[in-house]
Amino acid sequence: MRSVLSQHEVIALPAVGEPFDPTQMHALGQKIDDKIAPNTVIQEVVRGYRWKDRILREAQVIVAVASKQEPNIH
Amino acid sequence: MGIVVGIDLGTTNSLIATLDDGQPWVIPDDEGDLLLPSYVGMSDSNQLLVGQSAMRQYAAAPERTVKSIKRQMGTDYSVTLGDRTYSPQEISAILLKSLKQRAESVLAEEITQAVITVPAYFTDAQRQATKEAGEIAGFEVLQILNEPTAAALVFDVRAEEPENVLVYDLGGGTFDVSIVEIAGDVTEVLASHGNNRLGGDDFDRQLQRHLADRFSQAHDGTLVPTDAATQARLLQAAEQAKMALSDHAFTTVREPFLVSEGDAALHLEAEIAREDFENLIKPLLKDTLEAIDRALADADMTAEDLDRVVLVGGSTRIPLVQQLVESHLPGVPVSSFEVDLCVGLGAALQAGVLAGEAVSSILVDVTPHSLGIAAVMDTPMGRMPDMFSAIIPRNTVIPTSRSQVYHTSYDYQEAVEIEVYQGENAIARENVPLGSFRVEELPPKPGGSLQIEVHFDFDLNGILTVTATEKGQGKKNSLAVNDTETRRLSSHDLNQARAAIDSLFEAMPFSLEDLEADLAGESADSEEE
Ligand SMILES: Nc1ncnc2c1ncn2[C@@H]1O[C@H](COP(=O)(O)OP(=O)(O)OP(=O)(O)O)[C@@H](O)[C@H]1O
Ligand SMILES: [Mg+2]
Repeated sequence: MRSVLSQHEVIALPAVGEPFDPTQMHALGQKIDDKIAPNTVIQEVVRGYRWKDRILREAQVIVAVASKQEPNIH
Repeated sequence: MGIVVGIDLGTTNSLIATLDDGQPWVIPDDEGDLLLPSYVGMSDSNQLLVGQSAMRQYAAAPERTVKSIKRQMGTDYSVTLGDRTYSPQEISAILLKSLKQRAESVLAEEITQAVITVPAYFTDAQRQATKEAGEIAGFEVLQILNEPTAAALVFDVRAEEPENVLVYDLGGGTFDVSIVEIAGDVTEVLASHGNNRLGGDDFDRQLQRHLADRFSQAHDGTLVPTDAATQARLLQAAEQAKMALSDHAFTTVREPFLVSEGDAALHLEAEIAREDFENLIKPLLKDTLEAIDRALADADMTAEDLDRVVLVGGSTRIPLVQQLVESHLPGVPVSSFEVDLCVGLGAALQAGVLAGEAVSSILVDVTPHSLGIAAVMDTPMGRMPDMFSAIIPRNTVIPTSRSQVYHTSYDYQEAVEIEVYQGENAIARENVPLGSFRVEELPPKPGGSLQIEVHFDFDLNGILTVTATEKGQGKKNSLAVNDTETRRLSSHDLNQARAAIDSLFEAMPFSLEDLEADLAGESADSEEE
């Protein structure tokens, strides 16, 4: 299936480990994770695809957040 | 005179429309999308995001994404994005500016004059804030127009006779009903009621809960986990199923690998009947009918005083919504056209009127006769065979798909005969036959227990496809009728034509049979698959 797609230049969008990109990903939620840089994709729920420079379907992902928000500066 | 535009600045979606030869059309973005999600955000790298991209990041970064700003208009709410705080006017101006740019790039011309719509219940402060938003975005705001008035104008710009129109608007997150009086160029909202926390989002959540229950039933009580990803999948599946049920009597929801339990993966697979969904949302819809009564009382009117009902908002695509409104206001013609674009189209018409352009109401293709099948029906005289059961009512805007579920009428019934007719007579045979077909080899079951879904699909070329499916084993058959009559009319002409024809028939009842015989002669060839 994947190889048929790539013959037609349909390419799976990289997601896990990448910074969240609102032009090709759709966020489903956040997950607290201090071992990973905030705003990094930690889970791909639905794979996204691109054909040439057109997004056929955005990847649906979960994004890391730090356990504590930085303190506010007043 | 430059180009003028109309803008529907919505809670969930916004759009911009303009006129071509007096007819309104919605300007798409470069992806071809007509609706701009009403979201504004700042990306991780401090880039402004508007519309789709801001909506996509919402769940990842709610602290730097703004949605539903319309609910804050006219308040002193402020929101911080990046290193600056913004007023509701400023956030709305970002949406308006993005729509302005979209229009300027498609039309290759600078655009300054706009009509912007607001709900009828908006206060002066909320209207003023909306006007300011337009000015910040670089528009000269020709008028702040009430949304229901805009919708009514799509059907009756410049009606000669004064008309009372009830506009029923059920969107994603808000509901309102208004009574608008249109007399020539003068329009007035006589009454308005609603609930700004009721809409399609609530229906999605009801169905999401129902799907979770169905999952548990199928998997020995295993609960669906409450984590964001699983719940988001379930909610999306619910919205898709909801939309499918607007066109079909049944739909199947499939979410493979919804839950993994140890090594085993559990799938969600459930068939949802339209009736199940209707039972979930009926209580919410009852409230909307009460709002209709309150609006009528406030305007000192009864249903008889209404000339028309206009349905607006994506959620009015749900057949039950149409049915409940129709039966709550018997005898009042119900119109709808592009329910999610209608307000913006009307705003563009009004902008044209203000700029002195010649404008005209929308032309729509409609079914001039009701289309349906012969069925056994319960009547005050008992069960009667060969009654006409209309599936697509006359004057429905095409293309359209509708379906209805019927039951077998006696024990061990082996076949059903689907006889298709067009017309308005309660006795099927008194209407024009369009063809018939059978579904055979039905599984043996007691009468009334076997369900047959009959689906009518009427496309823009006037081709009617009728499909009947037996629900148990999926036996089906279908029939295509070519050259079914269609008619192109403005809704205003439609009412006049209807009145003219009705009076013609009253004057010459004896000619009815001849007329029907003629129509039957023209009626289409049919073929069985
Ligand atoms: N075919 C359909 N069947 C049922 N519901 C639908 C259908 N198509 C769209 N909807 C629903 O319509 C809603 C969106 O409607 P609309 O675009 O009119 O909202 P809106 O005007 O932006 O919202 P609001 O008026 O609350 O600001 C969503 O809940 C969507 O799921
Ligand atoms: Mg709306």
